[in-house]
Amino acid sequence: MYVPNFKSNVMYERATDLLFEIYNVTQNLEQEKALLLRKRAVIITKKITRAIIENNRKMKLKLLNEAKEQLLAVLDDLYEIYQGDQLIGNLIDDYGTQLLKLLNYQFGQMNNYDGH
Amino acid sequence: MAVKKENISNFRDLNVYRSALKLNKKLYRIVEKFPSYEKHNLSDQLRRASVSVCANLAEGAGNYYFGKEFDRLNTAIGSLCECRAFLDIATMLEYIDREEYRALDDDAEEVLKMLIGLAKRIEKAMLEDAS
Repeated sequence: MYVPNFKSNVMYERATDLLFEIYNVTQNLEQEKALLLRKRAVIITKKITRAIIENNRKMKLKLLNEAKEQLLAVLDDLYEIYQGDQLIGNLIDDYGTQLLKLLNYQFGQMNNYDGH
Repeated sequence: MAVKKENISNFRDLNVYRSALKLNKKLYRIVEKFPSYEKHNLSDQLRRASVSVCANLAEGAGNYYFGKEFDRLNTAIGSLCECRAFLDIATMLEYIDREEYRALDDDAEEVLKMLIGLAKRIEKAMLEDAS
């Protein structure tokens, strides 16, 4: 049984970078809004960690999909707040986009494996 | 391929269970240091993940079928990795210092190695009757 080291995976690194940035920029927001965004950030990191070490392909896909869903939701929420001039979100945008690309790359790799 | 165990072991005799329980206690203590706004977020997640390790170990050991025990062990490994990720987050957000983090992460890594060892033994037991 092989369990990969999730800490060296770039998806995990990007997820934690994103989480840190979200915690930083939500410091001055209303508590309710900040809590929801932070919760989503923690769930994204949790799902990605689980997906990296998961050997079962179906479960892996499910976890990655759930992480992507949460990521899109958090980016949408942050964009709305950003439009209201309540925060500066350049880094979040960068990290979020990178993470999205990495997730899509994973899906692509798994689809290519299915094709063979 | 062996499907069923001859008898159910007592999960409390497992060294990995005892180590997981000790780790769980330490994590519960460390979570008390987190800020109050993390009560329904990081604190809750870390507590749940650490409890999940012990619970899945116990459930797996109490099952007659090797396959089911293996599944529970897989879940326990996942929960343990989640604990490690949450510890990384807590360190990054400066809720705990580096020393505390290193001590807990080392303990978690020990438990992980034991879990993987147990999973390999079960895989071996499942394949033994095939030969």
